[in-house]
Amino acid sequence: MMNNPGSNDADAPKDPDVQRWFEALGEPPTAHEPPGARVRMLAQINHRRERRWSLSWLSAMATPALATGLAAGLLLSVGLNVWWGRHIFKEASQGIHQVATTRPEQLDTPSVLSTYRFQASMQQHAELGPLVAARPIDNTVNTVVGFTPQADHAAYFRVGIYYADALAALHSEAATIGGQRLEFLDQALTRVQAPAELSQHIRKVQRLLRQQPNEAPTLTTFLAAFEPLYLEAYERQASQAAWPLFQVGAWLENLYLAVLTRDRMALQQTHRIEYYQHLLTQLSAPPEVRHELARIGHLVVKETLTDDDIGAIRTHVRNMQATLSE
Amino acid sequence: MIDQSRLRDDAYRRDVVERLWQEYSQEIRRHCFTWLGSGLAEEITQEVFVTAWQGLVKYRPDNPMRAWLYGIAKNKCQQAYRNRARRSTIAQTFLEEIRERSHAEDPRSPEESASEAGQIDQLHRSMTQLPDEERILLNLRYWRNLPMREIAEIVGKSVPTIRKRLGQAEQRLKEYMSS
Repeated sequence: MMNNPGSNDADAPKDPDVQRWFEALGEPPTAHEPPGARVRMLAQINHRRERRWSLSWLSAMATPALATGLAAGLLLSVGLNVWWGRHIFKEASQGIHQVATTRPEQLDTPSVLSTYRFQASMQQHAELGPLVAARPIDNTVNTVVGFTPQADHAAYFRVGIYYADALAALHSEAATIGGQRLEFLDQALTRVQAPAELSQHIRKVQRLLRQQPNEAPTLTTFLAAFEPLYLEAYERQASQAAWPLFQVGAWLENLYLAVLTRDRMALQQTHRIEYYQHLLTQLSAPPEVRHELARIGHLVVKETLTDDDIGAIRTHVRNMQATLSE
Repeated sequence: MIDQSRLRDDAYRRDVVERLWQEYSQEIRRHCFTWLGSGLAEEITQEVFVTAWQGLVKYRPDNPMRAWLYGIAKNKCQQAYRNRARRSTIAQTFLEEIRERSHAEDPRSPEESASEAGQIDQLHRSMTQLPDEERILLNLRYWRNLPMREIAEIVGKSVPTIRKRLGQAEQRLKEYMSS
């Protein structure tokens, strides 16, 4: 094998250092027939034959009537399972829907997996990792001691940002940067003394990511479960700001990533603006933040977004992020 | 020659497979050995011939026998890679093969062989720290010297994915080798 160096894939040059190390090993080992291999193979065949004979009574019973009966039974069973599954699923989704729509009822409320869905629909979601990596991020939020709503609010908002970033990094197989953002997320959760199950979930993702860094894309769906988990945890705590701020943080970060990838389709989310405007009003967010969002709203309704428009959206998003994360 | 009219007879098929074993088992074993290493090669080779015994009933004489057996072997090897436990065995086997080289007798001068043995030893230690998949990719690419296309076929991923993951594996191996 060693005398055939990279013969028919000249498009992929080998790393010279790694090649040198492996060349030091000499020729790869070769196969030899172990004693008794043929006999073992024949014994396996005999074993299969015997097993088949022991089940031969089945073929004697296999009449067309029995086959028809079995097929009908199977169909009935499948039908029942599908019906029951739909019934259960309907109940569960109604439950989720009720929770999600307890806020601005008449508005187009995003689903509890909106961050994941937003990114999955982005045209260049495979390129998000490097963009997240290149994004300067301030991870210094004061520890929340006692009742300090402002720092508390900033931390909830940042939880949303870190979550969206971590998800984006895993989407694009950027395991290292994903791991870093998960670390920030975990720290932010600790700062706001979030319910324990949230940190536990993030640590589980971190552990899996460390064990199988190449499985990052498959971990996105597992990480995405954080969003409904977060909603559920804060529903129980009856916290007024935790869920809306998380939503705003994650959505703005997604918008920012869409700006960086110049994903016009993703940016034109006109139907979401009203919902987030409503959330910010409920949260008594500073008026300048609401104005920035209104300006984004004016831009995204345009039929065609120019490069200048995208630049302006970027500025507005950054201004909002700067104010809300302080 | 295979008598098509007798292929429903288990005993006849067994005789046919015994003949096939004599003619093709060496090269099928070599093929499995290259793809899977010593740990699973024999087991999969045997599975190939047992599967051939079962499948001979449907064998069409216009198919070349050698290609047919290779097709079965390829499927079996790919199945082995899809199975997490077997994939782990393959990665472990590849590691063992390197370890054996670090203990092999060397006819060269003591200085030369000591320096090389040290390097192999370090390669073994570095490979130990890599995840299973990276260990497998490096072994297939650099020791078994397989082309990207073939590696992609074995592990059931696209060539660009393999290239990317191999690049990551190379980087990580270099880090471990230099630490």
